[in-house]
Order: sequence, then structure tokens, then C-alpha cells
Amino acid sequence: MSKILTLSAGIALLSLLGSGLADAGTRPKTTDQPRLTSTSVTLPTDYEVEYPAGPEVQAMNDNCRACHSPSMVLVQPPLSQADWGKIVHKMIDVYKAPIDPADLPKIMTYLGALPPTAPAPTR
Amino acid sequence: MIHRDTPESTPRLSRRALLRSAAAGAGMVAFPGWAQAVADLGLPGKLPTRPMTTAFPGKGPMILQRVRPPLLETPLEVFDKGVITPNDRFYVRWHWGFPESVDADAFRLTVGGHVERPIAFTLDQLIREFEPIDYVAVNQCSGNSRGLFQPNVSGAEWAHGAMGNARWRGVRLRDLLDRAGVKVGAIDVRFGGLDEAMTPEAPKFLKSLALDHARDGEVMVAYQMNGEPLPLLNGFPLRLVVPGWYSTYWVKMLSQIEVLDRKDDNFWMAKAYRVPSTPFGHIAPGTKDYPSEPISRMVPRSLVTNLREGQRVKPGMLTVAGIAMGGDCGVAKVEVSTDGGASWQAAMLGKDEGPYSFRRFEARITAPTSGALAVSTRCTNTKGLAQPLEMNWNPGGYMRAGVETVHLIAGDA
Repeated sequence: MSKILTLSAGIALLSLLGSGLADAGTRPKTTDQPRLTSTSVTLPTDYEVEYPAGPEVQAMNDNCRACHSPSMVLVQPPLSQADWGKIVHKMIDVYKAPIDPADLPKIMTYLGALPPTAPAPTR
Repeated sequence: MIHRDTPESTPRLSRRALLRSAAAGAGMVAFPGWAQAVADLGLPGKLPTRPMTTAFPGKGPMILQRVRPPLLETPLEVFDKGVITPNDRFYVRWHWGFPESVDADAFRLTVGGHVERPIAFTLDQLIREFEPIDYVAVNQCSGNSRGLFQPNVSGAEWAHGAMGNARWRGVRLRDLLDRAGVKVGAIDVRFGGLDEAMTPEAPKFLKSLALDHARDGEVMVAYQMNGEPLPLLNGFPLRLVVPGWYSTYWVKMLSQIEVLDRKDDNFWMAKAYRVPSTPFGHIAPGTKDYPSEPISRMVPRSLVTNLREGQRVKPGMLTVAGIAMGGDCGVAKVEVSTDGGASWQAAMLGKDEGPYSFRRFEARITAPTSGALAVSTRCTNTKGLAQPLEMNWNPGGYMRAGVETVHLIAGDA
């Protein structure tokens, strides 16, 4: 037990010395000289998630799932057809979403038929 | 022209995954298959609930706003635990896809454009060859709290958790620019990261600062956040830190710095992230043809974090505590009102962690025997700017900073 304690104290002392040397002449001394190592993660996806049933839902599933989650559409506040039109045209004109022109009126039909959002529950 | 990285792992537009079999689960319609614990954000006039998620690497429980590209919100209770936001609870916001792997040895930060000596820095060079600097600063999304805007505004429907406060460590942007030697005639400095638009023709996410701002000695290229490498979701390995300015300028996975001999007119400066040229970016809903400018400095805010909207509280002494920020300077005072702003009492301020940090505040009020109790807080910054009593509004849903009020119910249950 005491041997383990001594050993860890020694390691702690060594790392203190090490950080002191590494930071010599610089400021502020808040952390050890950082080391950045290669990093890799796996992000969750939801490519399989489809839009809820509605008129022309296939056009939504075909065009509006590759770049972003369906939730981005489904959590929006109630929007007018004009507002939805601006958003869809921004996707096409600015973000260059490859939307089939024949699908555009179908997309607008689906968005126009989205149910008005239920009022907030009182928890 | 700066080198454009095109990492293979960046998820470009692809339909391969769309061909997978549908597996939408029951539960919340907006997030099929993601419904577990649910957060009620109290968003008015729209879906108020979101799933909580622990599915993102390096992140604890977060409010799921969007899976792809990720939008993860920090729950309010995290801000009640301390002024520093832990890395694993720090909010996440991406416009485009980004690589899931970064090779630390192969990574380069390029400085080019209108400079004498274009340079490609290794991470090791940045850490060893430049004096480190270190400070605490709030990072807040331009659209933080957009979901609370009335009238409604479309976009990422955040509650108050698209912000965080961390101790950043890195090198001065000025030192990197000086090493490259900025040429006479430079106007703007433009920043880009490893993220790539979903289609090659779409505008890469690029943001710019005026040269004098970029060289102010405070703007930082950060390689650490709260004493650790940045989480990949928050921009590993390097992130621009622009203290006092909205997060849209804090370019993540920073890989290219380009000095321009002209004003940057790229989409993300000229068209997106613009606010009315008015105090707090405020205009009356429906206003047409107003002058606008790129969003820039943050403004003061304060939020109660120890009490929730609709909470029942006991009659008598009640502690009101929360966090405040000055915006682009320190917090001078925080005041509390329980009469709709007719009268105010000063709150005590917690430890000062620097002008760009959150500051804790705490006050004691008396809850009535029964009935409604509305608690409002107002921060005034060290430049004398105070949160407006009337909530600010603009069509982008940016810069929300009016006095916030939490509505409580007093009385023994």
C-alpha cells in the first residue's frame, strides 16, 4: 500500500517537473504543454428516417433527406406558403440542392399540408 | 486562392444511405426513433419538445435539435452548475458536413492571400513556436433563443442553450499573421474550416474579420477548451475564438486563413447573418427596407437558472440565481424585478472570470403567499448598455437580448 502511494507520488512529482520545464519562459501556466493526437468519431445518422405521411410525401423523402434531417422541417413554426417557398428556393438557388423541378410543386403541397403545431403542453 | 481541403470523410450529398430500409419508430413525429427522455423548451406557437440524446461522441445528455448536420443544445440546468460549461455539455452547431476523423500529423493551418510568405503550420508548430494565451469567453450562437421569438421566425428553433462559456487556450491570430507578413492594402481576413458544403457549387462556410480586429491581440486560434483538446464536434483541432462576438465568426476545424485586399463579399458575410443596423438589431415586425450589417458584437443578457418556467415555489424568502454576460465587455450589474420592471433590486455578483465570461448572480426576493410571481432580470454591462425591457426582434431571429422573465406560482402545494 505504502509502496503504491510512494510510486504515485513520484509520478506526480515527475509530471509536475515536466510541466514546469515545458512551460518555462511562457505564460500563463494553466495546463501542461498540450498534445494533440489524431481523433476519430462516428456520428449518429438518421438517413432511414422518413417524413410523416402526407400528400406527395415521396417528393419530400426523395429530395429533402440527403442534406439534413427531416426534423429541420418538422420543428418549424407554422409557415405560410410564401415563407416555405422562400426556404425551398434558398435550398435550390443558394445551397444548390439538386431538387427535381417536377418535384417542386409536390414539395410545396406537402409543406402546405403540414399540420399546425399543437400548442405547448402545460407539462 | 487558398487551398480547399476536401477530406474524403466529409459526408457529401449522397443517396446511398437513403436506400436503406425505413425504420422509423413510433413516438415523436419530428424525431422518429429518437424519442427517449424529452425536454420541454417552452417554445411558444410551435413544437415545444425535443428528445434528449446521448448518442453523440464526447457529449453527455444534450437536447437534440437536429441529427444531420448536428444541432445539439445545452440544457439550462448545466448553466446552473457553474459559469464554465463542460466540454461534454457544450452546444454544437454545424451548417455543413465535416470530417469524422482528423489526422493530427497531416493537418495544416494555411495562412495565405495578401501576405509576403504563405505558410502552412503544423499543429506542433502552433503549440511550440508561439506564446500561448488563455482566457474565458462566452461562445453564443447568433440565433440563440430564436425559438422564443414572437412573432415566430424560421430557422434553428433554439431555446437559451445555444451558448457556452469555456476557458480557451491557443495562440494570437496576430502572431500568425505577422509570421506570414500582411501586405500593405490588406482589408479583411477570411477564415474557413474542414467543413464542406453538401454540393460543390454551394457556398463554403467562410467568415471574415476586419484586419485591425484580426490583429487586436485577443482574437485567438484555440487548440484547447477547458484544458483539453476541443471535442471534434466543437471544432477539433483548431477553432477561431473571437471574444465578445457571436459564434458565427468562431470558425471550427479552422484550416485556412486568407488575407484579402478587399472587403469580403462571400455569401456568409454579404447575405447571411445580417442584422438591422439598429440598437440590439431591433425592428418592428413587418418593417421593410431597413439598413442591415453583418452581425458582430454581442450584447448583455441574463438568465435565471435555478428556477424553471411554471415552477411552484414556497411563500417567503426565495433565492433567484443565474448567469449574466456583458456581451463585448464585462458585467457591471444585474438587477431583479418582481413587478414587471417598475422597480429593481441589485443582485450579488459572483467571481469575475474576465470580461468575456459568464458571471454568476444571486438575489433574494420574497414570494407571496399565493398567486403568480414573475421574476425578471436585467444585466447592464461595463459600457453602460442595459438589456431592453421590450424584447428585441428581427426577421433573422438573431441577437435576442431583452429582459427575460420566469413565471412562477407561489403557494404551498
